[in-house]
Amino acid sequence: MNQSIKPLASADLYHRCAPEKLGFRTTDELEDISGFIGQQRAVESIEFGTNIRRAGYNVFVFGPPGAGKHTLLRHHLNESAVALPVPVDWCYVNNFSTPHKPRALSLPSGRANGFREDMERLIGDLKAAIPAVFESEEYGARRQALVDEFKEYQESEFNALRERANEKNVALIHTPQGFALAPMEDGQVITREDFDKWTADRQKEVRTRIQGLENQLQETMRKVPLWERDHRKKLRQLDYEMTRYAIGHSMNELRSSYDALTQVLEYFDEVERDLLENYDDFLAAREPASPQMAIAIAVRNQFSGPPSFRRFQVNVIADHAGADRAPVIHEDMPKHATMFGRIEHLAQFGALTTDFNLIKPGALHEANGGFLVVDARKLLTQPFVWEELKRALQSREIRIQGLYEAMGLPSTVSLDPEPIPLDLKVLLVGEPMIYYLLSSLDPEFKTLFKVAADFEYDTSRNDESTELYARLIGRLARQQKLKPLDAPAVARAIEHASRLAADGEKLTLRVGLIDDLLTEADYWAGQSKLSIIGAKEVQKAIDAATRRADRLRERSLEQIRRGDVIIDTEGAIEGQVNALSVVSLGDFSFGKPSRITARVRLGQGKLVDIEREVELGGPLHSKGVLILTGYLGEAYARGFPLALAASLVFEQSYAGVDGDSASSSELYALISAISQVPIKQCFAVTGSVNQRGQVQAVGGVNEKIEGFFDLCRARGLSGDHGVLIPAANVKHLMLRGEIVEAVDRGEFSIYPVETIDQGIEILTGKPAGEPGEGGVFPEGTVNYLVQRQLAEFAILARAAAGDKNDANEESAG
Amino acid sequence: MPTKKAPAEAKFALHRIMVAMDSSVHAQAAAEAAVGLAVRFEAVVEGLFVEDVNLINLAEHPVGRLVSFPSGMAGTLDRGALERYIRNECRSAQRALETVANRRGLRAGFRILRGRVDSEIFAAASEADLLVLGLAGRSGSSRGRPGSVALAAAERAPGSVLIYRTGVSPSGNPLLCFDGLHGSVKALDAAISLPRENNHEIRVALIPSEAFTVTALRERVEELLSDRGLNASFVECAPQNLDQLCKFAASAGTNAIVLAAKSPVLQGEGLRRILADANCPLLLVR
Repeated sequence: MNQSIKPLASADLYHRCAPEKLGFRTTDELEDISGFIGQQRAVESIEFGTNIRRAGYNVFVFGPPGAGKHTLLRHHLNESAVALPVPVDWCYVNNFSTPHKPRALSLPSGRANGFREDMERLIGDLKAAIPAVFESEEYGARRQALVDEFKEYQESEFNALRERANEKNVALIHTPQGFALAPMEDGQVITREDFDKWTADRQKEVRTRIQGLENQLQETMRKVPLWERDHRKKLRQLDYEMTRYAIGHSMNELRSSYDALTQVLEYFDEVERDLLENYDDFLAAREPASPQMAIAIAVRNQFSGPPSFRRFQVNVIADHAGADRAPVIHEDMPKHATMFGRIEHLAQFGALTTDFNLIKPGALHEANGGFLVVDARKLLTQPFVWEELKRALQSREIRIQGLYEAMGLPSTVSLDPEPIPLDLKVLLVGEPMIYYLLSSLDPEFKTLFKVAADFEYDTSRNDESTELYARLIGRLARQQKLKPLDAPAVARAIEHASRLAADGEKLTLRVGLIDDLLTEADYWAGQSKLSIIGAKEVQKAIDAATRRADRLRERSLEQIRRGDVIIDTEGAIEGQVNALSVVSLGDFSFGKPSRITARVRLGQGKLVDIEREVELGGPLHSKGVLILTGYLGEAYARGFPLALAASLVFEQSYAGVDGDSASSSELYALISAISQVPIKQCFAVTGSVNQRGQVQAVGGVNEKIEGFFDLCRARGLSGDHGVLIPAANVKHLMLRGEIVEAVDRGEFSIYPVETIDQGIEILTGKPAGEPGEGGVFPEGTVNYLVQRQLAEFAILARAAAGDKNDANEESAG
Repeated sequence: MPTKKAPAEAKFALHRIMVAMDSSVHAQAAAEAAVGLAVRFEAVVEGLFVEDVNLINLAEHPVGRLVSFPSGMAGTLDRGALERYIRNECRSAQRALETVANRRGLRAGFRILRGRVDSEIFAAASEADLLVLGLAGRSGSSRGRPGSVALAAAERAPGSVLIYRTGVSPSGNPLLCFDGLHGSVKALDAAISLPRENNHEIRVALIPSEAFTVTALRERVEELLSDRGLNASFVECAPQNLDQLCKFAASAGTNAIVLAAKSPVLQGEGLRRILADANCPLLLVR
């Protein structure tokens, strides 16, 4: 037996943080940490990405959950935003020439709401001023004069005709159907009877006269539409003049307030033109002056709706009144509408209608000129948002369109608002997998998100980082308004940070998990009516969190204890070894012992992985098993064929198995099965192996050890129980206190192994054996027995092959 | 017109009122006024519709031609349509008067005549104390100017005439045009009998002439009113400035201008101007 492999001392099992070395009594004494621990690379990336104001230099921030990505971004962006100017305001106004294409107006920051109020005030004033002008005596008199002038002119024309007719003894009479012409005498139309008494010549002569007058009457009537047109023109000119007078003062006052803003002044010109053309809307808004007018208004309203002043409203899309920096927007619901804005509709008489007042801004409008932070996963799971965001960043403008339009489907009558120029830095926050997938699958991604901010998972644990970590814990406690922690509590939290990093020489940078731990410790301190959080409360928070999450772990352990799952923890058995696996349940994971068995027979060098055969084994597991063939051939059968058939199985495993951390266990089982040397069941094993027999580091070593310890303790620790781990994993050990104590008492052992031979000696209690000349192992060693058995298999195989050849020759002969 | 009874001191009495009807808005207003006066004076009211013989002759005429308005299309007259129009016109005029009378609890008679409109109206009106008619007929005229029948009635009607128009406020006081002649004394009686907002005062426009100075006219009015317990407020109006009379009537809130039909200063063009410019009804007393 190789006496050099000693179990680990308790000090190697847990990287303790000494409270006395922290140098403070409570976290109240600690200064806030100014930056972020261990994230310098990410900070530099974010600084670069946010400071470079070039197209395409948007930032993708990725890292583990709880690493403080959002906190760091908020902190940094708030600082960066101060250095940037406050962006201009934006609003949508009516496009009077093409109303379905609302105009986008920009105003100096903070002036959009004032502009809206000014327009509201203008229309409010005009609602009084325009009717007042049209109700004035002056207007009434001038209009009446025009009407009278027109009527008089018409009358005079017809009267002149009537007089000419009367001179020729023809009556011109106004009837309901029009003007009638007939012969008359003494001012009376001649009766039919009297007319019939006339001579034919006289009748003919009067007919000719009437015909002539009829022509003149028609000629006059043909002029009526022209007179009416001229009359309407004069009335319109009068109305125009009165409206101009009514609106002139208010419009000029407004123009003087915005005299440097060309776009706004152009808009005012359009407003003025519309007011002059549609002044009657302001009159219709008043009570109708007569029943006839009321009927006319009702009819008009039925077909075209009441006059609306909505077209003069200002729809403020972005207003930065009171802002002293560029906006920083965190959009936590990145739907199409919330990102790019939407156009709402109103139901009117069963139809959906809309106008520019129903345009609603999105996050891009709010963040324009500053920064927009969006969760990448949420964004990518919303339909068409990713494509639309790329389009907006490429074209550098925000175009509002509904989802239907984005999909190219027909929709209800909608608007096509003028796009708003976009000057924005987008920061997507997500997981590394999303970043890598986008990088490889979306060719546009890297042209738009040129900067990657990659967050670290953990940082090295040393005196300097320990001190910073203590200050970080102090800051978190203050930020969350928690009770201060004493030094032992901080030390315990730091130790837990190493456990979370799964490495005694590292500290996790998933600050969110530490934040949760402190919050829960604060709760337990509160329950105990303490004003300071101690190590006991921190431990209680850890234990309680474990307790809340470990129902499945308990069930698993119970199944083994009750014999439902068969795991031996005493005795020695050929071809059977206790392996260790990790079950991950989100943030909680636990170790679970499994039995691996191996069976061998004469064969053709094929190793059957039963897990793979039934498709329960993953590719990494299969790889580990195939490596074993290489090792067996190299170590034992260099001079003869490997005439072995072996099968390996995870007993009572009903779920998938992956990873190669059980490959050393499988090799031990095979060696035991071939050599027929039993393996001690008081041990469990973890570690992967290479073709040279070196044992390599694996993940989850703490959980695996704890899983086997829990089983052994439940059955009673005998002092023989222990776990073989790769020596490379020793630095990762951060085991529970009760294991450390058990090791201290000699009740449990942990062996760091570097080679398979070391493991064989511990598991079998026999020497493994070193190869001599010709690769032959000395007798009395496990390896000798393996080699001898494999050689026998080779001879048997050769003999079997010779018999078969003889039989073939005989049958041929 | 209000239903209040005429004051006892009034010497102006109405027993039979004739109202000339057609379907115009002015005639409608005239019907309202006639029924109001009938209630006030406990008089009988009778409507009159004249089928224009010229229109009837026109419809039957073999050489009659019609030029449609506004299209200017020429054609023959449609006798059936014209007759239907006259019948409908008559029916709606009668219905309008009955509606107004029923509302005030009166029964109104209705007579249909055929002939020249003005002469038939004047002939029928000779049987009544007062002829009420609208300022213009259905075809209307510009600037509220009187129609031919109203003008003829103002000048030639045998008895007193009330020429009514639309849009008149029933409140206010009558304005008497006083020239000192016998006719204007009669007009004073009529003015007193009309409803007034201020029961103790009567407004008088003094129209001086060579025969009567303003002072004389004023004294005459005060004398006439003294035994009736009434006061008068005066305004002077020269015959050549009759438009001032209308302006004063409009500004003072006048419900009717009352004048003597045969006043020499209120004949011809002067009367026409008052008819055209006055923004209130005109009562011509004969």
